[in-house]
Amino acid sequence: MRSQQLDDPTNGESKEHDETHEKLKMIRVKFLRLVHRLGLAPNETVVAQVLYRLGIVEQLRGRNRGRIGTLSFDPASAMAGQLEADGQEPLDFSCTIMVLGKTGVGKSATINSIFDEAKLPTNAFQSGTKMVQDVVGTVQGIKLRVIDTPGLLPSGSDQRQNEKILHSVKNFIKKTPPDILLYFDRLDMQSKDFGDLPLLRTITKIFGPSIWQNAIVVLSHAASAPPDSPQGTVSSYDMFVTQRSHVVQQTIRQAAGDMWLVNPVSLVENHPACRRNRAGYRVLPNGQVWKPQLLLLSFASKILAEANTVLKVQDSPAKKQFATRSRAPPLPYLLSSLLRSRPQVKLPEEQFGDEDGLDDDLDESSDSEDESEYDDLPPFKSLSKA
Amino acid sequence: MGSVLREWIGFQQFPPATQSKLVELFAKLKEQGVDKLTILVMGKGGVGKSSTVISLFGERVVNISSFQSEGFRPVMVSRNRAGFTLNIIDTPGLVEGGYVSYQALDLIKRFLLNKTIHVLLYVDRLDAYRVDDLDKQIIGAISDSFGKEIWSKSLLVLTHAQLCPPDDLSYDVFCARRSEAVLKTIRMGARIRKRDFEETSISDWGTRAFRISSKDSVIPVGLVENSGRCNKNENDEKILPNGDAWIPSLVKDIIAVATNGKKALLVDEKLVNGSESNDRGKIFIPLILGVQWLLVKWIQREIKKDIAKGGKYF
Repeated sequence: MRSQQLDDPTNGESKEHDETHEKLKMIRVKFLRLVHRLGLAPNETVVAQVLYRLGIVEQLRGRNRGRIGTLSFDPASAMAGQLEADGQEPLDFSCTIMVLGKTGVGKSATINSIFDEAKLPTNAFQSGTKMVQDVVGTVQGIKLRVIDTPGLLPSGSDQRQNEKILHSVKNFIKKTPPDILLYFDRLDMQSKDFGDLPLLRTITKIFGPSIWQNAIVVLSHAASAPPDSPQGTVSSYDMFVTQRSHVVQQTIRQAAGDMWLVNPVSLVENHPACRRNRAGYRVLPNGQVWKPQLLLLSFASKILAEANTVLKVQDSPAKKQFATRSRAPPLPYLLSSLLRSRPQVKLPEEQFGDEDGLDDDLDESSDSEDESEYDDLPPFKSLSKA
Repeated sequence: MGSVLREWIGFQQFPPATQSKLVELFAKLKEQGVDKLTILVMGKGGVGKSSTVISLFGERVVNISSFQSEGFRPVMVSRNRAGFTLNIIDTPGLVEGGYVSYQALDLIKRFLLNKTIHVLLYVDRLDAYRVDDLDKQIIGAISDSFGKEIWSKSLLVLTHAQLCPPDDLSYDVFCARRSEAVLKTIRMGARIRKRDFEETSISDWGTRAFRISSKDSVIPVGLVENSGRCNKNENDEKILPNGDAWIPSLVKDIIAVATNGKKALLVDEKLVNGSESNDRGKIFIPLILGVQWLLVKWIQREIKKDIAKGGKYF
């Protein structure tokens, strides 16, 4: 980290950069503390990718070099470990999550699972949630606010009713917009032929296509056994999840009109009979403990958004100076090439790639000028218009 | 249709206990002089229609596509055993893109031309927690296409029946409530009058049928589990969580509907072309035209008469 400061040409700005650098370091520490609280290891894929992302963001925005130097996080990680061990300093992090999805897929049940208590009513035969409502609580000392919405109807002719529901949701979130959207569906119900497209189109219509750039797909009933394959044998769980995720992601792409969107997917299982590990957490058939993973993906979005804001503040006075920086490739396209070799990791990268788009309806900050030109790159636009 | 009668080889795949039960059921049918049974299977996509057909025959007679429907056409599978012919017609899902697919219905109707349907299996999933307007529309479309009478020759089949109910409900209560919800939708979607279709309380669940008053038309409910993971009893028969061996039970219910005395559905030209409603009252057109013409003539005559009378108009 020392070496980066020496590269800076003008000493006048170095103080500002130092400040930003310090703020980013605190964000990294905060993130590592979250990771620790969720019981995950810092070398987990998602964690590593987010930290890498923070590093890249800092490089591309904060400096006028496109160089990606070696990034060492040991100071941040040590500090995080220390703060957690001390247990004195409270974690200044809160997150607002909004859930959307068809009726009966498990939105309220998942919220109950997250907080480990039955805060919301559920019903197996008719809609349990009748109105938009928010639930506030803490998970491992992290303040969490979840906005539960009434279930939407998938049938094409019911979209008027969906619009009414979504308008009421939009009104509700006006005051405190959520940081992340969880779009729910069931792992074990395959909607063929893009059957959910009318519903997703309605969501896009009411909230705008940018809502999908800050959305995680959540598949409930994740402990379901995969269907028998055409040969009569049982197909693999991972294949099942991949295929099902692909269908949902593809439908969202169609609805959002953006062929490059890849929403991360998280799995969830709320049935009381679900297998648990020794620590008491629910475990999926692939051995994954789902709750920390879901929370991590949700928090990662907020962390990256915070980093974004910090760097923006530093950006404005320096705009004129760093003409070369504005020519740097936009993040989605740069990082998507890095991710091509890891097909199984669908990650914040692809989604946050459009970090510029993180500042959308849900968050209140506005896009800065030079980001919009990246959205208009011709080759990609024309595909989505097809 | 000139098809070669294929031997029902899959029958030997059933465990001996199931085989003997089925043999008994088919024998009873033959006693009544019935040597052929044609079953039509319909429902939304992805509910398990093809899987159910495969389970009933005990062999892989149709293809299953788990993730996308290939827009496949209706197919009739026929198997013959000891002089008894079983025909089951598998159909494409009736929903496309969130709307009822009249195209699929049309395909099905054309396929069924000049066939007689003894039983309709309307398939849905036991583990779906909602019924919505789309279900009503599908049922309405089936009623409109084949006539309301089809429902007196039908069974409701709920698949994925090996489930662990949510919310601490017992299996029987869950099944009863889910069936109730779907049957109510059938009643509303087909616009059957309530008194023809009385719903019963959960205590009648034992008979797995919802009886009505004197009219005695019943829509029985059959539970089905088609996956290889289905639990088996000591006789190696596939069983449901309530211990019931579902294949013989389902066949028994099907046969009960087939022999319930109501007329089987003959899919003829009129039904396929839907000309019934268009033709209604056509005969009156020339009559009405004639009456109109006469009326006009009469008015003209009256006017002429009036003019001839003369007189002043102020």
